[in-house]
Amino acid sequence: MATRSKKSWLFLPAILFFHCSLAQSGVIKGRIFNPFSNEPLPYANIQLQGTSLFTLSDTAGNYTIKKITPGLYNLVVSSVGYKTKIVFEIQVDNLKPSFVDIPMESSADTIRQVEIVARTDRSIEWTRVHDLPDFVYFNHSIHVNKGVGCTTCHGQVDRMPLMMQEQSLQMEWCLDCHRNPERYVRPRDAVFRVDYEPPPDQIALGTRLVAQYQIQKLTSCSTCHR
Amino acid sequence: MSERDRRDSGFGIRDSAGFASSDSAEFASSDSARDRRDSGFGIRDSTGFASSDSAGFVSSDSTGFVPSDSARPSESRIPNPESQQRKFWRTLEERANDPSFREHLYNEFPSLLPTRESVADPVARRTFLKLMSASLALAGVSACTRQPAEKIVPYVRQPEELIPGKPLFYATAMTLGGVATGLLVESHEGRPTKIEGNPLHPGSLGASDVFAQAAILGLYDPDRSQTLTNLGDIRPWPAFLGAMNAALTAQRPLAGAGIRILTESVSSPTLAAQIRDVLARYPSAKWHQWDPASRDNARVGARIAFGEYVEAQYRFDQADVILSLDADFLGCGPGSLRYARDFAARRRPEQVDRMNRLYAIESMPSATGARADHRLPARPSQIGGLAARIAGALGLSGGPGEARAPAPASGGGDISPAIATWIDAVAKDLQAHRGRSLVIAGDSQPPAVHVLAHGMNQALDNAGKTVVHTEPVEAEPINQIDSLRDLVADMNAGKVDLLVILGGNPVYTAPADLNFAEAMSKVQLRVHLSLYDDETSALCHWQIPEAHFLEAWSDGRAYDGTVSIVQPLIAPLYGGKSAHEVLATMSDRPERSGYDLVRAHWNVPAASNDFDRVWRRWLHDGVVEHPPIAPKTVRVAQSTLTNQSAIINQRSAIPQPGLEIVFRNDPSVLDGRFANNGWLQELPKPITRLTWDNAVLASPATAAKLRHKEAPAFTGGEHGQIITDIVELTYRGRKIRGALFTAVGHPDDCLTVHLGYGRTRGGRLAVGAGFNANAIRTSDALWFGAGVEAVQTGDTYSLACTQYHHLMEGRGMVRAVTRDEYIRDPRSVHEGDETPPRTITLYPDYKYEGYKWGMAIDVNSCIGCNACVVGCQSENNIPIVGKDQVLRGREMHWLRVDTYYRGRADNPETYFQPVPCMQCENAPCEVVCPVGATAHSHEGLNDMVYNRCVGTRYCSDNCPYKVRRFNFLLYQDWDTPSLKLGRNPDVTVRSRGVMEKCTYCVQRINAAKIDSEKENRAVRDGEIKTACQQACPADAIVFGNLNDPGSRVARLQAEARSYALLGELNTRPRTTYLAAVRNVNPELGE
Repeated sequence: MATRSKKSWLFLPAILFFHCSLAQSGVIKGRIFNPFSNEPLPYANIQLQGTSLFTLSDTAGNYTIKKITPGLYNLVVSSVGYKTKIVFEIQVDNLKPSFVDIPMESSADTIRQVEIVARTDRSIEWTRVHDLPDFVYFNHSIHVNKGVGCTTCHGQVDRMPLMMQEQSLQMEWCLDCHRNPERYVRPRDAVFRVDYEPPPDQIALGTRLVAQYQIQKLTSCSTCHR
Repeated sequence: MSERDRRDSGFGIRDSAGFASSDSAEFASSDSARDRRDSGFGIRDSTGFASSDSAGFVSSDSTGFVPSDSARPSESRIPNPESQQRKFWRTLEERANDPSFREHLYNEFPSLLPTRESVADPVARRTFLKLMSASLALAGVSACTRQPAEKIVPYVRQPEELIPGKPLFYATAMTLGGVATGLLVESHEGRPTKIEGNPLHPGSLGASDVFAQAAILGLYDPDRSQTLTNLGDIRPWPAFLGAMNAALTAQRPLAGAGIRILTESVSSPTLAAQIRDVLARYPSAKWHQWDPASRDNARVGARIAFGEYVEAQYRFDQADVILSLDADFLGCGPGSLRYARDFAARRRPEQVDRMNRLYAIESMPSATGARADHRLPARPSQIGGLAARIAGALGLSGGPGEARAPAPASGGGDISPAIATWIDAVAKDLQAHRGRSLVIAGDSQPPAVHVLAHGMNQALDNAGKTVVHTEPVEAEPINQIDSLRDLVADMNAGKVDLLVILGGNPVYTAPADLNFAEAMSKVQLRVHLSLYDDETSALCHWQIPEAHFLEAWSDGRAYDGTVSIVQPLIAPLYGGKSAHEVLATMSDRPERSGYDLVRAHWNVPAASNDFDRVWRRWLHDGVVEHPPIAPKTVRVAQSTLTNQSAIINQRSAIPQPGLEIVFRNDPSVLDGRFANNGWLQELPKPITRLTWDNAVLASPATAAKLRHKEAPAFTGGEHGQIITDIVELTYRGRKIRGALFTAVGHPDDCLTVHLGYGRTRGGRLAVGAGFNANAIRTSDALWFGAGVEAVQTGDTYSLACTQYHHLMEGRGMVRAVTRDEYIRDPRSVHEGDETPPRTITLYPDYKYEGYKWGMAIDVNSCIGCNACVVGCQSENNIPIVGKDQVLRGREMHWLRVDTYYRGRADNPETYFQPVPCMQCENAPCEVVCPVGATAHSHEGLNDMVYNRCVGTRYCSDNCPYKVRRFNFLLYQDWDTPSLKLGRNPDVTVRSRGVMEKCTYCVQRINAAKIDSEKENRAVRDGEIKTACQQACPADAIVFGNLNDPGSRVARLQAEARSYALLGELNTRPRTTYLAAVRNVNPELGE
């Protein structure tokens, strides 16, 4: 049939891509850390220069980039509060992963924050750290009212040298709490406490609070997307 | 029970009904167009909705809701005349059951039709694939990156009461045609984003019209005049002050003899005081007024009748029988929002004894005529004669003998017996409701008809009851056309040295015979204050950018005299000036701001005690606590009535040969002042449903006559592309060319043209649309005249008409019964219903705990004013698409107002039906989405998830209500900075390739739910108003929680005349309709 023969070439690129992917088997692994405290750096952005490959370090500072075509690469590492670092000419081959641990140097920006604004009438420009996608609508007031603590989503901000995003803010993460609020809610009077530690019987407390605060398990699309 | 199960159960039902009935022969068709359609959109076809074989769905003939017979030759089912009579139709082709039109019905999606060269042409197809692969490659590079870093800039000093993300509301008012309407404007962090009516304002009661709704786009219009210019050069404000000062100094010894101020109708007390102040300083200066929406006839009529200018206000809540003499009191004019509310409140058949009855005689089909129980189309010149006959039958003006002079009916003799019966029945009905009836004359009818109307109201003892006379609301009521004539004469005589035009566009709007532009060129210094650099600006020395009413302080009076302070929501975007500030330059204190002027005007000694508190209260409420204008008792002298009746009789006794022409302000762009507003340009006009153009409107018979024996040029083209003929109109030696368009219900031998189009300056949307009817309008016949000639030019033109979009293929969408039928059996609207029982499925129902949102729309109340459509557009960031895209059926309005007709083409019954998303419980769209981009919420909303949508359009194809809209192109303007300010930050701005639809204003639902949760209570009934509901002047749309049996919507849905659209499909729509009930006079019958 004429139409079928015309369309069949569309499969060609798909097959080609498949073959290419067999060849892309190099791996770079390693750890991102602060050399002074030896603390890991989570959520640092690691980009393989000249490619579209990138990853984020996990909470232990570890990262892995897979499916790299063998060759020489530069690795660009960036993290808020640290100077961007480029590691040059890493050899990648098919045989074994390349291990690259990267110490990061703190940037001097950290201490440039104290400014008396009222005197100059100029606002401080804050960099937005917790940035939801544009099609997500989030209301703080209702979460605070229903016993979701600040640190549940923002982390222990009082202990951060510079504000960083602790949670992924991905939909799955939102839904985890929306489906199982009893795992996360706390009494309303503890919402703003930064040093709040969930009690060992969190599930029992949470279940009680869910009933008391009439917390609904809202998972409809339009709860957040409109 | 999971959502998945629930959806399956719904689908199963439709499946068995739909597929069983599909016509297998259709699939075997080898026709290429068919083939394409079947392969692309097989789902909709296979459900067999359109097929006549789906006998289970066809309601019985007696109700007349017969789907158009699409699959078989027409002779297989000959509709009997009675069912034809009872059948609803949208277009003349549908009524005639035109075969090519039926073919057109199938092609819901124009994009893949073979007529589109881009797809049919193999070369274009290859180019398309090439481009696609290129963009895929780009997508591979750019995907999976993080969002760009954004900055947060907090306030240094946070304004009072402002919480970022929480809107504030301010009361203000909009003045149009000299009448202010109270508004409530939503402001997000200092940016006005949405306009609603002010519930505390008597002229609004919370409702608004299309012009108020669209004003937000007018504010942010990037084409607004942005700089002060002198002969095209940008100049600073002091330069203007200097020029003005020099001109005024020269006038001082002449006592201002060369000064002329031209304004539109002024109801602002402050502005009037300022002008009078200037006139006091320059005693020989003159103030002229010209408003193209001129109400001269009403003013002059009142002066003839009562010897002074008197305003008439109507009490529709008191009126049982209403006669409109070409008055569109529901659609436009002062107080129309209030009138629509009061009128609709008296039409609920549940309170059957309170139902009013409306008779309308009209020359152009209007909202009022559509709602009339008995409508009589008549040429405008006939209406006076008909009014005189009714007056005669009521015993006025020397008795019926004199009134029965030969009528100008087309036959040449006396009026037809049918019309005579009509007149007698109306007169009898009016007579039977003395003190509870009302006669209203339209603004386009000559003063004598107004005098007659006043006389009839007096004779019927209505004065002081249903009609209240007061002092005029306008500051200086004058005969504006005489005023304009005087000004032109003075300018031609060289008496004018300084002309200050405050608003308006007289070069464009002045009647052609006055040659305003030529006369104006003789003035030494011409100053024009306007929002746009328009035709008048081009011929003036100074063009001052006007501050929008949302940017400036002012005040104004409502139709009943209530004063509102106009307070600004935002500082002038382009440094515009208000009329107050320009007039101040002519006073001794030229630097005074609008705020100072307005406040000082109201801070008179009597109010000065604690004025600050009073002032704040006024601003907060949007209404000034001021004694209302006191009613007056006035009487029409018998001699006046006799004289005026004589004028009418003489006039209508002369047979007018040939065609008559009617001029009307356009329902969307008015006199042209809103011509650059895309929302209004793309808004389907009531009745004609035209967008982006005006047309020469004619009745079907007249159109046929004008086109000689040609085949109909109106082919229901590709989704609203109406290819029509261009005719040349010659009227008193002046010519214009315009597209001819058939308007059903239009009187014969008469052509209607709308003003406001054919602009040559004033914004990129204004220029180039339609033709300029002002070019043949003369000052002695502003609204209608005889002796126009229409000649075919042989050229054709494409009109974008949405009446042909989203056609419902003859299914019973609108239901209407008479009052008697309703009394006999309130459930008579359900005749032939085929709604499947809930027990048809084996699966248990999904239980909606908590809220269960629903909507009830009253077809009986809807006046088709379109306020809901623009309100929705403003609330939900809906883009405009342009004429070219409307021609392809791609307009994006989430809510459309369908117009249905029933009966004869020359005088049909007319019904309006707003159609938003039905939010079906068994939504057919959800089951066909391959990516789960549309899903059901636990409250029964049919959610649309834009970020999941990949644009397959299957959902739209499967929607039997045709309410889904697809972004074929990037319609939204993502670049213009000023437009970004006006968007609703609570609603996603959609991009190309995404499906969208009505959400029941889910952002408002969520906001109200969050508020209620924080206060530990349930959402109250009426707390959530959807944008369409809030705008509606007739209160036709009600939204609420169906799980609360006491809620308004639950009570309305429980009413006997409540019905679901296409309930037989078992979609279980949450939006239901209330059938129309017409209060037919038994003497006249249907």
